[in-house]
Amino acid sequence: MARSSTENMITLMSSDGEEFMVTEKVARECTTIRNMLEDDCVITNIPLPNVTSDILSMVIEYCMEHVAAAEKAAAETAEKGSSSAPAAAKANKDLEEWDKAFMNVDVYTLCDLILAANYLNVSGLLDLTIQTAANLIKGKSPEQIRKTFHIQNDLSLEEEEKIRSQTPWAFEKSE
Amino acid sequence: MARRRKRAGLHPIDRLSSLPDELLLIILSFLPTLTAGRTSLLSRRFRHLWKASPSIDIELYPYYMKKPKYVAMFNTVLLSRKPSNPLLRLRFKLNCPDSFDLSHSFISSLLEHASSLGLRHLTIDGYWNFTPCIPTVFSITSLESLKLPICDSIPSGTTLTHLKSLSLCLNPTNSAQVERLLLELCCLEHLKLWVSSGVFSLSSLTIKKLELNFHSYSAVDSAASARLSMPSLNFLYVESTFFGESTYEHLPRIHGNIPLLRKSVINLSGIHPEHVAAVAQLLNCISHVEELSLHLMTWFNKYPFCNFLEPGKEAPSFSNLKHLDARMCFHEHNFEAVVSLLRQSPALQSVKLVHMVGLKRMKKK
Repeated sequence: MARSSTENMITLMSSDGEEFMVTEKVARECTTIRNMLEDDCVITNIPLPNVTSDILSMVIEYCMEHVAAAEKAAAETAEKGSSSAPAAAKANKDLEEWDKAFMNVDVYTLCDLILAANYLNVSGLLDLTIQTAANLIKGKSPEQIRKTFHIQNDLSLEEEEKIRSQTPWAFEKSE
Repeated sequence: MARRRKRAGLHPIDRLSSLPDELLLIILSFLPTLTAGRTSLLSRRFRHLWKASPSIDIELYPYYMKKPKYVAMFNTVLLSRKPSNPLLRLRFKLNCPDSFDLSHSFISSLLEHASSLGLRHLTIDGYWNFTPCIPTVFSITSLESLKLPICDSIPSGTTLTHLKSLSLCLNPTNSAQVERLLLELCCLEHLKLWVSSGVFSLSSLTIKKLELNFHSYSAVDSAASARLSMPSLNFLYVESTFFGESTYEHLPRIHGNIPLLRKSVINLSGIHPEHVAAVAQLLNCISHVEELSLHLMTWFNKYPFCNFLEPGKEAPSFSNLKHLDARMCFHEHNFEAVVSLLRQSPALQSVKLVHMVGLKRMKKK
């Protein structure tokens, strides 16, 4: 991808000390970073002590893809005066496909991405990861949900009985 | 994607339970309440968490659940909720015409409690007569979006000053009340109406997006006619569906003052030769759009070759039209009509024509 030399580059540093050079535009996809840049526009190096390098690289991958898609749409609008509906619909569908493939991760990574998307305030990524987690819960029995997320059941039999008797409607086959 | 970790194998770690409550509640809010309630049995961490979800989404099927159970459910999920757990979203659907024995006063008490919890988004669905509960709905002043099923009366003097999005059924019984309601809603931006029949006049200074869904099931309904006075409107969606031969004359008439309209999607099915005047009136009303999708389905078995413009007549002048997406049967007359429409569109940049008989697609630039 050709970039103009005038574009500001920003270094993001992960909790484990790895540095990632990104364009300011990509960094601004993270509302948390955008706010830092607006408070102090000379920052070029941002430490992110809550995000590990493997998760940060994925967040950056997501932001770059979405910035590229937005730039492509803007370029088409500039060229033609306004975007054509069918082309925009196809671009949206492609991006959705990309998102879907991007979400092909194990549940541990998914939870880390939720935390990072929340901390960095990337609303698109937060919605995507939360929806993915919710989809992994839907239509499953408590036992199946525990297995999916490796949740240890620390409820006693008496407690389980009590929950079942207090909310019997939640454990009927009505979905 | 090789760098993505696969830790699940040897030492499965429960990362979900270590997320903060705030994030787990967002996940739970994406689930129907019956499913969210099921998470109480996962572990101690999840036992009570779901009760604080900012969203309640309930579908009731009386065949599956008897009255004491759903009363107990509403008590747990809504009536015993404390103000420290605000409720943003409430949706309920009652799939139960007559056999349903929930009283209106019970539903109203649920709505009142939701109101005290700062409810912002309310959706009520299903085939149950909600009319006695409607005054309570219109007293929830914190609402930002509202979707209602068929209701025959709407109270006047509403104070829904935050309402931005509204979805309603419009019929001859409530049309005067809906017209008045629109004048009272000072923030409304998005309006969606399901219309059976009637003559009505819709005015709003603030609405930007209007969706009109016309559907007619019986010959008793007369053709709908809508006069729009919406100076801020920039998107108009019109759909009409008709069922049965006796309703063919019911293509809606739409006219009015919508100077800022930029984009329009027109989706008409069951087109009949006598509709040509109504279609022409609709096109005249929106002839200043920049983007137009025009989907016309004829009533194929009986009138396979009906025209969307009167043969020999010029199309209205679409002086701003940049993008046209037309789907219809391009028989001889309609092809001429489209050519006439293209001639009348000097600003045109892209055209997509889809022939609706067979699967032939044609693209022109």
